[in-house]
Amino acid sequence: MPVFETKEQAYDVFSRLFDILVEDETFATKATAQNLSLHLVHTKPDVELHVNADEGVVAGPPAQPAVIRIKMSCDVAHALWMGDLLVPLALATGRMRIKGNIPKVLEFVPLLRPAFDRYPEIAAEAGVAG
Amino acid sequence: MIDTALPNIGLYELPDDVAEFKGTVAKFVDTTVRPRVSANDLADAADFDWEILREAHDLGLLRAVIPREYGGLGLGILGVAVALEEISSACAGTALTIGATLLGQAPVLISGDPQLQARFLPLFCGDSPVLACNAVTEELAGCDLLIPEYAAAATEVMTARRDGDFYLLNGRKRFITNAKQAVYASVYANMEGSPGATGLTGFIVPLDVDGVERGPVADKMGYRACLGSELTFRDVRVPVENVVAGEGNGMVINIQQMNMARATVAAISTGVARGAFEIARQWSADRVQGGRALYRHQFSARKIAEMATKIQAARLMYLNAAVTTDNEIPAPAFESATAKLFADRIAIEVAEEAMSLMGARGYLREYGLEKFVRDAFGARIYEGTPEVLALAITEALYDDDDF
Amino acid sequence: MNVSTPSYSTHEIRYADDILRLHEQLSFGGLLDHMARARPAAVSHRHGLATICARTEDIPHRYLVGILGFRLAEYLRVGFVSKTVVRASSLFCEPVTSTHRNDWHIVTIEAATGRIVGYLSLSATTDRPGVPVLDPRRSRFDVENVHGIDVFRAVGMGAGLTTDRVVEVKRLMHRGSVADPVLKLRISLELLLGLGRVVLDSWPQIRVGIGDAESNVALRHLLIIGLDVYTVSGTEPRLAADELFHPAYVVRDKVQPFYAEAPDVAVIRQRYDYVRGVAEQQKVMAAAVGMARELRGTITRIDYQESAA
Repeated sequence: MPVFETKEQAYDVFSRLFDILVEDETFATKATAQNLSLHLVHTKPDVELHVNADEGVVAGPPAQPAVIRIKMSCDVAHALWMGDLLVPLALATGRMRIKGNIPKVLEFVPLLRPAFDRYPEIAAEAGVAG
Repeated sequence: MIDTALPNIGLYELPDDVAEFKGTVAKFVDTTVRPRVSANDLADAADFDWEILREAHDLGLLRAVIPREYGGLGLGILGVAVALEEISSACAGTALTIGATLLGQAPVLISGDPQLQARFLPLFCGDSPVLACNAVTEELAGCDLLIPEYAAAATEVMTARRDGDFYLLNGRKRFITNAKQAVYASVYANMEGSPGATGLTGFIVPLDVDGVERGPVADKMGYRACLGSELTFRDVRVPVENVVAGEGNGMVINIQQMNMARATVAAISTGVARGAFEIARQWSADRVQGGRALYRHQFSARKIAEMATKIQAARLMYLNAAVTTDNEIPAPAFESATAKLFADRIAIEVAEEAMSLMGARGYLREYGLEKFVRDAFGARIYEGTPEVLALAITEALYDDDDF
Repeated sequence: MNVSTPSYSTHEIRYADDILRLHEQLSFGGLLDHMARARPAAVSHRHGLATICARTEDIPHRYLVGILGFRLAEYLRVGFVSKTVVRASSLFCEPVTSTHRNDWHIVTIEAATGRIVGYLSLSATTDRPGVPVLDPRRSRFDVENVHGIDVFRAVGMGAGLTTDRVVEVKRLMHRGSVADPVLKLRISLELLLGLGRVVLDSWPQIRVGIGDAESNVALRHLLIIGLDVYTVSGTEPRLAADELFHPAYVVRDKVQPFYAEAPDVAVIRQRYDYVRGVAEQQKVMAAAVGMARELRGTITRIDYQESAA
């Protein structure tokens, strides 16, 4: 049974999550300075969005390839954000795939901290089972 | 005249830092490696040339892929690959000493464990050259430990047992490059009572601890500048902090490690092919028969053209695999396996063809070519035989990319 | 004497031991070769010790990491840094971000082995040039943040002084495994000569040194080169328990802020030559005793509560 029942529910949760990041000063400053853009592709249900400091969170794929592209199922994303699955293991097992210059990716990961802290609450508010 | 050593061809313009590194390494090869190749090849199997390693280390070759925050060069697989092509165009054994150290560093990098990284990666950044190694193969389990479906059939595999805050490791690993000199090994062992792929666990094991025994050096046909030997572990105590990515994840880490490293092995094979080709090419220009240089004879021209074409193709494939590896996590299986499959094969073909061009002289040590022929067979053994690579490639071809 | 030692978990102790073991294996003689090529005047050799004086921006990143690793390892050894923080932050060196490009690093290396055996840092302000020390908006030096004081106002100095003329003297340390008292003395002398060289070569840029120290350790080093030092007692140094250097203000005896002005350049040169003469002696211990008598500095003690009143 997938964690997210509908693509609308999944989009609601992940877009709110990245809204928090865009509003975080550290993330915004670094994203602007390094021209960071992110393209998120989730499956089951299928949800796609892209994020950058200028536009914030936008549904669908970006017009130009993003600097970092991440693909994984919604269930894997949920487990990662809840802290039940570690990123290196998700990557090593192919459950998460990232395309992008690896040093940039490694610099990007610590910037996600504020979102990790808020995810359980956002998921609960959206009615996502734990 | 076309310089077949030139990697800036067509699709790929090397980034500035990689191009500069390549130039530095090429100079090192000409001034330090080449003059010592023959002596190192003829030396006793257990002899090791630390002078070459010291200079290689000063250039950063042993820390090329280590992130800058740990004192490394942070160059990525592309930087390592082009460097190893240069080195193996003179001596594949020297290249593999460096490549095998990368292999030992890979699980630490892949683990994403900052404490493990802080404890081990800075080791490579001091004055002295430090080597690492990777211990997978066993007496009765070779490919069985590289193919997940076969792992359950692996018998008498090295074991690990949890004992409080430590694991106790028992077993024997064979055919390990750098085992004689490495400060630590990445080691794969099965949790006791959990045979098969799900039980395989990766550990980082310092080799100066009680219970580790380094075995004798193997007397190899080729790659004689690097030392291959074995490690025996008798109740070796390894702290729990040294597990890579948790118990039972050894197979996925091992596969990731291979995917990361295969582009560099393809580069080594490309370098071996290039080294053999360069000798034959020069010979074919100097040797006159029937009133003209050998390369002006059609049969010989055909051989030379085929050899050059294969080297070009192998190079483009490993560059593509290296760039993809540096821009995708997890490291891609398809690009790196196909690059290695092709490069390993053409290394043998090109070396053999070079020998046919040179005739009797190709068979004599003094002309340097027969070493390349011997070395050419090495890469098809380590980091995935053609059979293992075929399985990895077809697995990738039929992967439905399902999440 | 406040010697309450923090308690650590087994894993924290193990991690710290691993970092200590890591740094025991590392040497950085290559830094000598690099500096000898890049800035030969920055290296001095004496009695098997080589000392480099270089700014952060002149030190290749790999060696900077090595130096900061030495700093962390030695502070771990003496219990001045929190093993909890070291492990939680996965540190193997002091964070590179804690250094400023204009900070000076005086590094003494055993020439034969390449091992770092002594170190002293002169940290620069993060202000732009020309900011008066008496400007309330200026950046605070670390000693001021820890002790919660304005050092210059506390000692009643600072008129006409700008922050870019001040350095914070920090991390005076010897490799813990050096037991030979003669070698320890030589290392101290090389570090002090390094300090002198930096002040002379950058004259008149550096006019004041501040910091904090225990009276029987670092302050002694300043006094034996004849500096007149002001110390401030009555402060309450504190760092939050989750700060890396929290233990340094828990395990040590009284740690007091100090202020010392560089004397006139002719005096500095004269003392530098004198100390160098001592360092060159075979019987350095006896020569140092004479030096302490000859160059004896003074301490003026300021009570912070009284000066603030």
